[in-house]
Amino acid sequence: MEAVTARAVFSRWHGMRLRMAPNFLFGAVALILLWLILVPLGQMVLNSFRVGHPAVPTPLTLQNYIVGFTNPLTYQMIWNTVYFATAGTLLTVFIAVLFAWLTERTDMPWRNLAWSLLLVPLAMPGFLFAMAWIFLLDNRIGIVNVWLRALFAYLGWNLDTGPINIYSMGGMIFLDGLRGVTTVFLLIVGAFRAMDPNLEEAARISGARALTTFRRVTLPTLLPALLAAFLYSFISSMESFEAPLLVGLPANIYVYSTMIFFSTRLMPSYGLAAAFAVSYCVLAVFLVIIYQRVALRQTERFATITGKGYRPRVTRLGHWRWPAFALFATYFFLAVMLPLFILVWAALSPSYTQPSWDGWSKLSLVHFRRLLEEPGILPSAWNTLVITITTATACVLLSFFVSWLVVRTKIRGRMILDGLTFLAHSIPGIVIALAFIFVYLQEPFRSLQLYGTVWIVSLALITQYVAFTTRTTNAAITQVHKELEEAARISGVGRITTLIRVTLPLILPAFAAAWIWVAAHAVRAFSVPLMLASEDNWTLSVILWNIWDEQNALTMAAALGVIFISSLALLTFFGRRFIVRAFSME
Amino acid sequence: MKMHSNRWMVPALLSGVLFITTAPATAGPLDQYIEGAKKEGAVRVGITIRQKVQGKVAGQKYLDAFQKQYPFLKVNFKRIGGARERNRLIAEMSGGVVNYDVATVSETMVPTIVDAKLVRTVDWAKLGVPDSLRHPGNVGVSLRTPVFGIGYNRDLVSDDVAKTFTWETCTDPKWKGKTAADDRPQHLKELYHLWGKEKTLDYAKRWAANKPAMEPSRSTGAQKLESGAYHLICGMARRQAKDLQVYGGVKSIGIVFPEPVPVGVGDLIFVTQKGKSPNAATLFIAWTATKKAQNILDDADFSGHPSFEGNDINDVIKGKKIAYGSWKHSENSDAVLAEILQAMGFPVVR
Repeated sequence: MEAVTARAVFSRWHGMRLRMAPNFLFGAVALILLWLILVPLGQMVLNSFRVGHPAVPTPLTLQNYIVGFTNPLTYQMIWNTVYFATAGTLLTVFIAVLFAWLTERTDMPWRNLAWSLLLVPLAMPGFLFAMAWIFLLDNRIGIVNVWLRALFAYLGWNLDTGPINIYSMGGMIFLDGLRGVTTVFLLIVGAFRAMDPNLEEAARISGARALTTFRRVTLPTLLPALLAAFLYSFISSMESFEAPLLVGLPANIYVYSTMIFFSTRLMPSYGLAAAFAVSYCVLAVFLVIIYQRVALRQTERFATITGKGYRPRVTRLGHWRWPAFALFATYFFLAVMLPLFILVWAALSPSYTQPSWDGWSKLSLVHFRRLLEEPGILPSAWNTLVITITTATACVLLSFFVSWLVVRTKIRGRMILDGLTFLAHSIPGIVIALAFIFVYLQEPFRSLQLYGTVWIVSLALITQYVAFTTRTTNAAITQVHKELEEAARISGVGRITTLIRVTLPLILPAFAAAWIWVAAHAVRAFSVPLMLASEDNWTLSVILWNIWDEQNALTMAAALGVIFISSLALLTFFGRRFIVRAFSME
Repeated sequence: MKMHSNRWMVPALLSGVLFITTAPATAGPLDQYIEGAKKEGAVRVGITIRQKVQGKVAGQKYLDAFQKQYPFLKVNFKRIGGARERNRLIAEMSGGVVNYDVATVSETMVPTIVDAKLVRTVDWAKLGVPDSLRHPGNVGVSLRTPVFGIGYNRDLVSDDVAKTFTWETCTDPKWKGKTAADDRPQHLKELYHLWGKEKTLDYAKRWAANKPAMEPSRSTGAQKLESGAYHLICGMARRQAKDLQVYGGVKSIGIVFPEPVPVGVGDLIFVTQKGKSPNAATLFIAWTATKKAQNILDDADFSGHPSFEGNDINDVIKGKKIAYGSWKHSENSDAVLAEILQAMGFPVVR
């Protein structure tokens, strides 16, 4: 009798534990997100209602909103931004979808190599990428323009400048479009790889043509991943900074991100900058609602990884195999090889001059040697490593739990978690950093003693990047059919154990891809580490910025940029090997 | 009773005479700070000079000279860079983290540090700091004085042609589309106070009509001038040009100084309110305002004040008309810059 009672109690406790586990997880994840995201967001909203420096709080006022949104220039900038972001996103998504399909679902030659090489652009710091393209396409001294003018002169058409003008809206879109491809590729490539080919087979057996199959079956199946990628890319383009600043400003083209920058730089007005940033967030909320309505509410429609075995179907390209590879090679040449050539040339030149045969004799490794003598370079390298590993790991773990709660459970308020993570993407890095300074210097957070350590940098970067990793894990979990988890649960396995033992291994490829993306971004992030830099937490990117902006040493900065790119090429090489193994669904 | 008082009077007078004759020759207003600094033993300095530039010793010479002057003080130096780092500094100090005894901010941030009570005021005039460097409210002292001119690419423009440049060169259609400008044309802000509003804004409009490319940072502009993307940079800071010439070994950049030569107030360095070593900090700042310190600064950082005889910039602009910026003018520098930028067609939302 006693044994029966004990069993009943245990059973009731076990059942309650199973039911409550997601709620506990929800509570824990919600607390972490509130801590990471709502705190800087709240600080930003508060600052938008104040004038002057946040260090000297003033009474609340609507002045920033009135000044910002009664000025006709603001609407001109909004139009520029929407045009720039839409065109940049379309270009990015088009290239990324094409390459995801070519590398995952076709017999394009060297597609594994192409997959790895697609990660390399992540390593290039944005301002060096933009500067390199300026030296390639500047009206007067851009080497591509110089060569084109020589060619035209040979044909009898003499030009003083041009013919290509990088300082234009087209130039901004071109740079932004190229820069975003890797991110969007990583957001969607898992979906291409994991898609059940039976759906396409069924369409083709029913007589549908390849294009119709792609349009009616493939694309709708990939909708969650595509939509997430499109929205993420759109917000990224809106926030894109380096190209609008370095290429747009000389052409008198202003967008939102540059206006926020000028609001805090020319004549410091943090409240105005915060008011502009808040309007970003409002747009982000709107985009989150679209995403949730279209994608997350219809998860089961898009589940393609089921309990049945499958092998991804490969499309034979036939005569188009090599042209497809040539297309990829052209992209890689533009996104990596050409700017890298300029950076290597600059890194080896005593001072920057146009690449020429005469210049070869002057090339040397002097800037690389000087880098070794740069104060604090070794501790900074160590800090960078620690920040990179902790940020990437924490980001993907947090995102995994957020996505599982959002996609798999029916807990009320779960969509708020997703909204919060996406919102984080719309908070400019400088605002996050400034908020972290204020928050972590005041009680109760001050007693954590995080200020001035690498951990505060890592926390701020997690806040910045959790939007990306959550998009990746959302899409990945959406594609794993519930039946697999249900089978585990019927066998008596708890929900959390199922989550870790069943779901996690299935989405490991997306997990790994997100990890590499965050790691690459954390290595070269400079806005947040620069603001949070203190005695002991300098990173390599802070040193890079100092060399470039404070020492005027483009050539030395290029040398460090070349080291960044080389190191990341190694990371992606090893990462790729891991991803290949992780992708193996056999 | 009379005898008694005389008996004490003589030794008192003698000791008075003795005290006066043996008093140290260096007695002066700094004495109390020197005594205090000896007890403090160290000073934490966070200013914008660079110890090394491109591997070559630069601002370190300046720190070494101070160390030599006050060997009992250990100087712990950490560089504070541009606007981002200065904002971080303000935020840190507002939050109670004071890592520096001597700190720096930009001209436009002075009201913030005063309002936030982050500054320990000192009677700088009493310590011998000249008016040209002293903030009138005793908030601090100017450091790194910017002098502006017209930078040019020597491969595209000969030195002889450059010698003929005036500020009107920038509005000359001959150079249309071949010039660049900093997005903070600070030289115009200094000229504004000499030329007046009307003349300055008219000039800004004519310059804008000549299509100068706005550059988001002085570094970018200088790097592009070096490579020949621009013929001229109107309002180039001398420090930028000299940095590239001396530390970068760049031969393609030259700079000339048309009259009136705009000279800004520079950064403000101040004694932090809750710093550990206020006496040592005061000594450091007072020392920076000496002729010796300014001349070393000009040699190492190209930012000495031109009013001091014996430095390079003093020689270069000697006899020329100068448009000096002042702390009095800096109170409305935001508004002046906004007016200039608006006149140039730059979108200023204020």
